[in-house]
Amino acid sequence: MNGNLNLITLIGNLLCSYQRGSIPFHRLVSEIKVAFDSLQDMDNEWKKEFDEIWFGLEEVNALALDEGEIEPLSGDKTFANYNVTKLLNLTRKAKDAIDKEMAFYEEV
Amino acid sequence: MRLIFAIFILLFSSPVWAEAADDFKKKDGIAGTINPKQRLYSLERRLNSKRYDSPEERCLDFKAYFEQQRKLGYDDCTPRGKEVHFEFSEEACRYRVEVSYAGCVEYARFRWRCSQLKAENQQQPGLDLSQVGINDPESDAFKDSLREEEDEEEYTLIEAISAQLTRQVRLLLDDDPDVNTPDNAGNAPLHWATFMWVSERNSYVYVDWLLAIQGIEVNSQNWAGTTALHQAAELNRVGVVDRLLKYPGIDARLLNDESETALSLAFKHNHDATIQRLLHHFGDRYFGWDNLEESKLLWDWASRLLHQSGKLVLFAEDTLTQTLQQSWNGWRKHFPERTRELEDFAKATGRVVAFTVSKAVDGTGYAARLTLGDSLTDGIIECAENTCQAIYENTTPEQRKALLSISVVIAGGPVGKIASRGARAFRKVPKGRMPKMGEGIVDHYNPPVGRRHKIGKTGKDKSPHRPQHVNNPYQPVQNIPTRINGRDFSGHALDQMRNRGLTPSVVENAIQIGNHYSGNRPGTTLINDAINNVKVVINQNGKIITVE
Repeated sequence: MNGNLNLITLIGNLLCSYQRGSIPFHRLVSEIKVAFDSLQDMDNEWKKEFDEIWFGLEEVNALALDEGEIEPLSGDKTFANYNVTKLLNLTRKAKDAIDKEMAFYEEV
Repeated sequence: MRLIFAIFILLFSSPVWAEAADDFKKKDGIAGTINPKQRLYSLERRLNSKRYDSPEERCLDFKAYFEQQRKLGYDDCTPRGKEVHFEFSEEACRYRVEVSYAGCVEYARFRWRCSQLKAENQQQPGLDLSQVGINDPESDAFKDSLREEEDEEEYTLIEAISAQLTRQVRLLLDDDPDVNTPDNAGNAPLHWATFMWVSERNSYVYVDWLLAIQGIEVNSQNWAGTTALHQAAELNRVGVVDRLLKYPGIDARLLNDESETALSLAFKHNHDATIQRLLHHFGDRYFGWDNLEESKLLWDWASRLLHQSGKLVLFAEDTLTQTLQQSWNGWRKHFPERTRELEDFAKATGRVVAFTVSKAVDGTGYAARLTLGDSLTDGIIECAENTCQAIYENTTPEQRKALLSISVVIAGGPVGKIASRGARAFRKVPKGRMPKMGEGIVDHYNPPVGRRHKIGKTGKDKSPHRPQHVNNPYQPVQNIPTRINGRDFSGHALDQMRNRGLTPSVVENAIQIGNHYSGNRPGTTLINDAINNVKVVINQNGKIITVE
């Protein structure tokens, strides 16, 4: 549970870092995938949703890298930012769920 | 001004201030103890350099040193928590001082040696203790050491064992062989004989002597529920494990207070040699390990699988259906005695007996599906790619088609925890009917072909996971664009294929048989091969730009 919480926090931090401009897009895409793959016992629907949105980012990343860029191409920027925001919301949702679950176990 | 400065210097360099500073230092033993690590190092330096007035003083410093280690989590080679607490309590230390000052020092040596051995074991699994300075009990040096003991004081059996006074131990055993009287923490002499490190040779001898006495309670548990076998397994005392397992009436299934068996402790610490012995013991007793040996699966791969899952896993060649209940019924039919034993075991211990069926392997596309991760008890058991790969490589197609794996939960968390896991695995199966193939399987798949690297482990239970390889931040693409079999691949696509263990033929297969959709971005095409779980994205020029 704690491991998941750490990973979710890591994903959230990566997304925030990208939004702040601290990390490049290609790094965001690869690193959140690593963290996502490491999550254990997460809700499947949440995982599916996250994976689909992430794959959209991966496409943007692949197109950019194919052009020798590490940031989204000009036509893809809005889509990328929109998806990053969606991922951030999903991450917050997951974090809240884990927090609640942990609080429940603590009470028990 | 000069006068004020001189007064200031005089005042603060006076003996009164120096004395106050000394008092401050003495108060906590070491000055500047805010940082726990700093305190640890300070204690270490002091233990190495200080000339102590009395053994008690030094022993108390040892105690403080160990406690600090424990606080910092450096003592994972020690016995269980309760024992650690006992060992480091003031009474225990005083007791040791009273018995012998050497006892405390020896304990320090034990701790140090323990950590060293652990490090060695990590590099060289299955290390025999005899390789790290254990002498032969039959050697002259050992016999001489017995003659040198001229201690006339009276000891209890535990005191004699803990102080490594072999002659006293022998005399006590000859005079009054009361071998089951425990100490304050419930440790019987056998626990102590197993536990003492300083002379493993003596440990063997003590264990032999104790086991030779009639009426010894070989399964006695201390306050933490630890048996001698638990200790031996945890500390990788292979010789002691051998001796204990040979003793009639030994119960290797006993659980300590943390619901751990000797086997699970050995797995926890990755003691291969001990694991091997315990598994053979189990196999001979009631799990029918011969099935595994008859099959062509390599034993050590199975043990690795076992280690990763933390459960006992049996393999057998059998043609059974793929559903949970049916497979269990099939086992009942084919191996009635063993299944009954397993069920009895589950009832007797309150453990859940879980069992899984691996999917049949009918072609290369399903190679990596030969995993326990695909089992109906997903969430309980996983296996890493290398294990699956090994299973795949060491079985014939016929065997793979008929591979059945059964896992038996013999240790782990409390019953409720396991039961809730089991319930979670079944939550998707509708009530009132048998689960169909694949039902209840949580979405947890492996890539269909190829080999992915297991980068590391995470999580509280250190269970394996499969993160992808990540390029260096300064190297967003590592491969160069290539044309393979008439198909263009971008550098990133090749990177991703490498990361996920996908070969060009798999990608080509996905393009041929997969469903084509328009991609997330204009001009891209997404191809989804649902059978092999492969997604391919092609740009408007027909170039493959990424693969998932």
